Amino acid sequence: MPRRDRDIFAAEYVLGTLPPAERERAATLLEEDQAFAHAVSEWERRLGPLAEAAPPLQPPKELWRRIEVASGLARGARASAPSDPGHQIALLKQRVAAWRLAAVGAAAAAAVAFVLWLGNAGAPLAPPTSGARYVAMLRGTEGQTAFLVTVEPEMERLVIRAMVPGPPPSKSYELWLMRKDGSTPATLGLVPAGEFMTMPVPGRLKDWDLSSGAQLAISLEPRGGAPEGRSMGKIVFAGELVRQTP
Amino acid sequence: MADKSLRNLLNAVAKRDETAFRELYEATAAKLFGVAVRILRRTDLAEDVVQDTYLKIWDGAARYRSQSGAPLAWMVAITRNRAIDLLRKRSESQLDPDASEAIEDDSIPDPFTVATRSRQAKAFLACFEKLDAHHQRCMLMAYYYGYTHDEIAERLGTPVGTVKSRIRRGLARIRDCLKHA
Repeated sequence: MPRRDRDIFAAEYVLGTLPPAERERAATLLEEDQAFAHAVSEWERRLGPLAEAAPPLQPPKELWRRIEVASGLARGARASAPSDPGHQIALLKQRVAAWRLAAVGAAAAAAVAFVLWLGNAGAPLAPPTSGARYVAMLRGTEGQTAFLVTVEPEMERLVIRAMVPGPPPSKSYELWLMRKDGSTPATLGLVPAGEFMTMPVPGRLKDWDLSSGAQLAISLEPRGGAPEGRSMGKIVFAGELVRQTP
Repeated sequence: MADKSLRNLLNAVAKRDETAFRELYEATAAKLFGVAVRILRRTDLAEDVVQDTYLKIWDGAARYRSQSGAPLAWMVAITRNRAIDLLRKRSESQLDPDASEAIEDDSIPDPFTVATRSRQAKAFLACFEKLDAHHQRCMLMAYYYGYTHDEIAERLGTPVGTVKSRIRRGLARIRDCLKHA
């Protein structure tokens, strides 16, 4: 494309008038062609003054909270030094609380509905021979279904079905149990890669009372997991544990 | 907020300063939301786009540099780009049944009414003013509403070819004029 045409193509891309197919072509060119990328940023700068006349409109108050949650920030996150373990736990709790507000509210209801559906799909569920089972549907902040986790305390295992891709290369997903009584979140370990996985559960989980309402959360941690078992990362998925067996 | 303070905030945000991030949001969210709503005509989609813009800035995927021009204009460019992408995808898949939250304001913002002008804005407006009123109108409809050539042609009752050439000529004139500014 001659330089002059390419420059006008960049201008039309910035202005936004290109039809979808050409806009896609421009987006590809933007990735691959430095000169085109430069032309685009030049046009953004040239047309920038038009932004000054755009009338402002106050967004709803929840928008900041959504951004805060999605970016892994939480209110009061700067209150104490990051190395303080109490601070880390408080931070984790705040993040889950904020997440709960943001997660379209319906996660728990959906988990229950899913359990009912599971119950209806096959043969009547036999009374458990190996203790109670619990299930949690973990969702992201946008409400998307991400993980289905079944906890089988007697079997000392978790069965995990992943419905989202794994974490970025330098990161790990770590699973946490958060009980309603507000006690310290406990790590259940790193989530293994794959679609269908099982994870061993620490034996002590057997003693924990899950029926009084607990939550599972997955945080994004540095590769290898949270240092010293304390979450440093942001909660990306969470869901209530629901008793699956009678 | 003055360009300089926005620049300072953006620099602090690049160093993951959470207070600066909040301040940046307070200072600019209404502008970005206004831009996104005008293009998308839906407040829910506009919220998504604005959220996306701030996350890109926070995660450093979008990095401000001094040659990017005025900081607010740079942020608006990110929002517009994302909003227009979304708009094109939606119109392509005909996924637009819910216009309940549509914004009724159809007026075209007038850049000449802005009282306090930056140096860049003054230079730009001096050039923009020299364009034919038809050229100006086509460009403003595209900029503020994200219309395609076809949509502008339909709204003005002008042939598409005319709209295309008006916009192209207008853009080329702006560029040449700014070169001599």
